[in-house]
Amino acid sequence: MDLSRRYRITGVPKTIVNDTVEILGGLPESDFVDAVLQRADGASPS
Amino acid sequence: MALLSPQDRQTLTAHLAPISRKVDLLLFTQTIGGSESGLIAKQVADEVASLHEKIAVVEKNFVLDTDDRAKYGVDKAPALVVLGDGADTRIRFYGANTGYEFVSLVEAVLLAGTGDLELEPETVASLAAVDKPMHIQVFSTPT
Repeated sequence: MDLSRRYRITGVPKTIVNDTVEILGGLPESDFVDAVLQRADGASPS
Repeated sequence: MALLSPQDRQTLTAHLAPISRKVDLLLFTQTIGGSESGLIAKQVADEVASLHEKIAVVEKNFVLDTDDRAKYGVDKAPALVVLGDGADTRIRFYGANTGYEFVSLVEAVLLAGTGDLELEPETVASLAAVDKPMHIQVFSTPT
């Protein structure tokens, strides 16, 4: 499957963590780290 | 034809001057049946490698080099695997690093070539506490 369709890429940058978490856009370093680490525990994707 | 202007080359050469470690860019491409992005990826990689004597491009055949594909987990082409002093940085680029993604490649090379994370101490501490695998994919160029 085309990756852009699989992960519903309609805008970039888009970050996918462990195939379950989605982070849209660019974030400051601390915010990005918080998003990756907090949401990587199986939280619902945005 | 060179991708970079003489001024850009001068700027990037200075930016990459701190590199002290050998950086290998393993470039997996598929010449037969592959996309044109493989040719572009090679051109970009070669251009980056020309900026510092410690940066080298190692070409791999996506179809034939099956051992290396398995070793580095490469499942798409073109793919760029970044090694620092022979060690896998686990940084992968899929597709051609054109546009803004050229900068991403340059920064990845700088990271591999210096080992300098340039992250806040709090970030480094947070990441050191990670105890399970994390696969992070960043989509940066729409197809």
